[in-house]
Amino acid sequence: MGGSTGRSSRSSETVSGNNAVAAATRGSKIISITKAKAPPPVAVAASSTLVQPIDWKRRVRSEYFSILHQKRTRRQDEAKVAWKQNRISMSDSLAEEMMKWDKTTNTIWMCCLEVPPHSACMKRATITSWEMPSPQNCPIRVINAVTGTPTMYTWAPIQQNFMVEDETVLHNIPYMGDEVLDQDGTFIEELIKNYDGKVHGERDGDWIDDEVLVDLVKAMSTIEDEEKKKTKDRGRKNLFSNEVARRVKKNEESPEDQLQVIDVSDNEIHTIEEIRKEPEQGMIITTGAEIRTPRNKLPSMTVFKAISENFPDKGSATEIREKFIELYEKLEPSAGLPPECTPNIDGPNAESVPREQTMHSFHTLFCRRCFKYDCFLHRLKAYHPGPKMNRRNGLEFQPNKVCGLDCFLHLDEVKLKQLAQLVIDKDGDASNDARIRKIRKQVSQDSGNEASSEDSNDSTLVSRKSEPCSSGSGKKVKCHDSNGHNEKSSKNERRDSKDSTESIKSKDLTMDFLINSNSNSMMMGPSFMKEFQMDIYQGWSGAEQSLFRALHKVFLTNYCAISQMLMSKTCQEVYFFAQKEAADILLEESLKEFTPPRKKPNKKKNRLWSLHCRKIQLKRDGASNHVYNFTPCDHPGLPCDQNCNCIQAQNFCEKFCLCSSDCQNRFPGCRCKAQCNTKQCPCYLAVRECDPDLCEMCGAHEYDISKINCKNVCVQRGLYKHLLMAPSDVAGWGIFLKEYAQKNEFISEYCGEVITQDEADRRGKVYDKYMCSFLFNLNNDFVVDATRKGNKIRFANHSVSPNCYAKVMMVNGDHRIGIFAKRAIQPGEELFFDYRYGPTEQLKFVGIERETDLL
Amino acid sequence: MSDKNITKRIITEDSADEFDNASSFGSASTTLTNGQTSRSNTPTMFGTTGNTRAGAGGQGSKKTKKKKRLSKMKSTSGKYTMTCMAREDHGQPIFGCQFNNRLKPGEPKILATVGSNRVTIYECSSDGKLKVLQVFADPDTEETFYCCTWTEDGKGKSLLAAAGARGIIRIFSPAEAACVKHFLGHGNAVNDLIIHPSDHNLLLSASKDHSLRLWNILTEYCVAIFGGVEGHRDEVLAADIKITGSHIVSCGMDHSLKVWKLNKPELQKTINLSYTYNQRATRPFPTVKENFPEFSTRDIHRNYVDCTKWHGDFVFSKSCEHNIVCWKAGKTFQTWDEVNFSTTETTIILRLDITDCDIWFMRFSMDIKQNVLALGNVKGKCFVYDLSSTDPNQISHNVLTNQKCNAAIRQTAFSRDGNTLVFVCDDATIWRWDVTNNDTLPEDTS
Repeated sequence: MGGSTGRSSRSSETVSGNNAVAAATRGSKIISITKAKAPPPVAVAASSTLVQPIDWKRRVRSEYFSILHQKRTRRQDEAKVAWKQNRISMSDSLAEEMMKWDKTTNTIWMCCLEVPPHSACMKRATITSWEMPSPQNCPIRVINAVTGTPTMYTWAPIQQNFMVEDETVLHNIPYMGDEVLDQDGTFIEELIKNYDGKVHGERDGDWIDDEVLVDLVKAMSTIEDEEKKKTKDRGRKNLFSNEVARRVKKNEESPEDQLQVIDVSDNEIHTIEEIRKEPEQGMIITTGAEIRTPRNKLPSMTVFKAISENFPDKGSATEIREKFIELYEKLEPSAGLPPECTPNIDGPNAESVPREQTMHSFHTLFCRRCFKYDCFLHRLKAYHPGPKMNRRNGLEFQPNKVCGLDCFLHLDEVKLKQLAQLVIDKDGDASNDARIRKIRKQVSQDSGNEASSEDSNDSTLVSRKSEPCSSGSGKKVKCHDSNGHNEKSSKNERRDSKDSTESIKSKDLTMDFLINSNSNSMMMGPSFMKEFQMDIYQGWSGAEQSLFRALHKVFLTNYCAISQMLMSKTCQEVYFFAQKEAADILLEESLKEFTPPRKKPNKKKNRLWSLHCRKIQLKRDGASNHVYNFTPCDHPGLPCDQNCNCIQAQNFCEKFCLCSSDCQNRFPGCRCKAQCNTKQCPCYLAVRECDPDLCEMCGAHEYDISKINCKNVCVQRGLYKHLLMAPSDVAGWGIFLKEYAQKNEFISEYCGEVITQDEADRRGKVYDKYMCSFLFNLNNDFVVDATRKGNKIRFANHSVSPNCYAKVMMVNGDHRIGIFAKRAIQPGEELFFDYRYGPTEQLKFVGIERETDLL
Repeated sequence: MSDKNITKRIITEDSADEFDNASSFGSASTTLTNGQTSRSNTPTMFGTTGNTRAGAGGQGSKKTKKKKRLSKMKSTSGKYTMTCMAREDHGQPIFGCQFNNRLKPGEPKILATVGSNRVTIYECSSDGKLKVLQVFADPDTEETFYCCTWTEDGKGKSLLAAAGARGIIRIFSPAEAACVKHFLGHGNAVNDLIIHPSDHNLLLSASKDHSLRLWNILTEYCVAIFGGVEGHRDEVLAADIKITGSHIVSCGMDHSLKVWKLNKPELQKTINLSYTYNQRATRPFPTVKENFPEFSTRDIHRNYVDCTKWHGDFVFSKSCEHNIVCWKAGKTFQTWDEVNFSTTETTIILRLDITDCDIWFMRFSMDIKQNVLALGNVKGKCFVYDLSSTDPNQISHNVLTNQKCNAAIRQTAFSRDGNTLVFVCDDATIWRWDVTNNDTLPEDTS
């Protein structure tokens, strides 16, 4: 502890430990300033005194104890003050409460001591005590019997699976009654072994806590710096003072640094004194900037290694280093928010920011599989396919029709450009209109693969809007002949019906608004426009600018569409702004990115379909009951071959994969006109629910549930039966069907936490001991655990002759467990399914094989 | 266990020693009379939670039977003198005792004890005796009552709530000598019952089913359920409501302490609704399901937390680690409203060490003025801490011992005037101690 405790003992009582450490680093900075004025001969002399390499481990330890000591002193002082404050405020409120009590209470002691008439035959309680010569007797009044309810631990109801992370440290040792412990003393030991001996509390959490770690690293960093300086200075004594001067200058430039200087000025004298006594301390030159941005200037690995050696349970040197960086950013208020966070892009104070910043939250938090932010199911990064940047359909990106008299297409320069474009275009399609129709047709064909394209959400809505715009009146909404378009929009509505209805409403508003604004600008005439052109940036608020940049990437030169989205700017204004912005998206290039129209798509589809039938056959023949979790594949530039994770896992590629939409490994969906509830349906056969993006004939894509013919969409549409929960006829709680169910009809999805197989093994150990398990194998990678979160079907009991069966289905890229009626079930019947008890493990659920394997 | 783990543990203990040494420096004045330091006894995780745990389930008595030699400690200290003991004939542990502190000044000191399937009401008469008034028993022998609390019906009559292993909350009316109401709802045992400090109809129950429930015992609705997504992950062992009625603190086997906000507008609305809701309404009462506590920490204790009490803005809590911790959320001088609840930061104000207190379901209590705190240990010693000191590092304590009292003390209770302290033990005994002078505070031993 030597030197370092000495330092702390010198710090005044009121200086908190934390500040004292800070003072050592910050204070030294002040010293560096004073030194700059008068270069220190002392320091140079000191540098030659110590040459041997220092024992880092020992230094860390001594530093650690000095920090602890400082903290302790500070804590005790603070605690004393806080304790006093609390006592005062508490006694006030207590006194008030007592006063109130004395005034208002009217409760007097009334006790029925009457001996019941049948007391003679009542059992009596005897209370003995030494003080009393004879024991007291009192008749026991037996109270009314109440039937209790079956045991149930609190669970959170959910209607969708919820992925949770593994717990690698045992949360707490479960208590199962002393009998269990007596009978099976090894159980707890085994349980702890499952967690590699890690139990909460054992891995000591607070004797090197986060704050101490930061302080320790900071202190060590100072020590290291001073060591470095010593060695360096031997060579460059002259350079030293120059550098100090330079750094001081740097400090002066930064206002924040100066603030810090003021901060620690109280300790200045103290630290100077310190320097005099310990000359090497004066050598520390740690500018505020260096400390504030640990990424630039971190203590070397030697320091972290030494810390790691002292505190092996804190992880390796690298882990400690990472932890420090993270903690540092959190603890230092100056660190602030990371720059890439989405700034305020709404309201009058909105900032004008680049597109990347505007879209940051969307790109990082939006789940492209669930179409919502922060979904609970695809939390791992691997499940989130990135946006598909290479393939976009060029539907609305061309300004097609004049949106009004004032349309930017009427501008002379635009007309010239378009003419030039037409000449280059060797398509032969003279009419713009025809070309667009063609593109649209193509869209309808690969709409099923739309989900991962970046703008799939917004574009469909706007495509609806842009069309009426071209007709010049907002009231007539033309319907496209294209199937795909309708389907797409319906898909959208379904996914976010609220939003879409709102947007439809707002669309009407937009139209009115646009008509108004158009007429307005018409009235104002061209002179106004010219004026506007002059300072085009001034008319644009931060929000509009940010929104423009976000939209520009999607709609390119379709300024009519952009202006509609902005709602506050005409397309001419947008056009001029775009010219000013000098957007670097080159029109021609981006157009080339669009996939060329595929030839004879029908044939291809037929080929795919036959291929997939063969595949399914192969899969079934394989007879392996290993079903792996689906993870979207992403191997840019490579086809889905043996290296593709989908193929390796024997999964189909899904619409979320980043492979091409005509990938051979994709499931093409069914073309059933029937109910898709027989093996005739390829989806049913493959234990998949019909995909609304693939299966069009069965109506799986219909928004309105009443229009759906298909019976193979129940899990995704949540078409579960009404269930009632009551004490079971068999054991504990049971679940009862309220309405009638036909054979093979969907009853409910079995929801819960999705955990890894490893985690399930660990949890299962405890559940088995409790004789109560809600684990359910989902696939080879994951298990559904309905213990903490689940839905009512978790109460279905086991039976060897059950009336329900479970089936793991692939539903839009996720495995989900469906419970189906094994026979016709009458209202009021209790539901059972076969848990598949293993003969060896009495109370362990084993996996429910896929239905195909049962057939 | 591998060698690596063993070495790790040695390091931990070694350093923990140094840490403890200093952190409890202030309470050095509380060094115990028998010279034992709690430190050397600090068990490893295996020691405490693994084996030496006595259950609340009544089995505990078998585990903790130790007919040890009579302790040679000086019999009494401070101003408490043992005045009376009583033994109930069921021989099972008495898990709870509560004084009826809701009576008018001048009324007798009424005490209730619960244990086995019995609920017994005593009068602590002025002559220092324990006089049995009423005995109730549940017809189900499976029932073991764990806890009880007093309340009133608002018309001048006292009510006693008790609950236990079967999870059924019973309301007794001593005036009618009967169980007048019961509440079903908890999916497992009830470990603690608390009455709202300002509304005598609101009863909070802490259950083994990982949740807490707030009941309106007048209208018999379950007002709120605290638990679920971010709720307790194992049995809730104890809870307390702040004197202002604004917050609940709960603790449990998951090593955690959680603070739930009770003065939320939504909750207040539901509480009000529980008084006016139409009993014959077609829809069930809209019970609030609170899945998210306001604050949660697992940094204070590293074992089952089995007792917690508010102390102004601070919280006293204990786990079976030989000490009681007084802590607060956030930084030292932040008030509850200022604490940013996205953090789990806590500040420990003081630790009170105790010896031989490593089994769970051992509850401490404070007198109404919160000047004295009493906690018993496994060996039948009761530690009485004087909290009225201005310096938390100078908290002194007395140890109340008696030769014949050597079973684990499950709960302590103070009468409203603070002059009577009662504790109950695993061997079905009840011990009454009275302050000899009129001074309610124990004397400073240091």
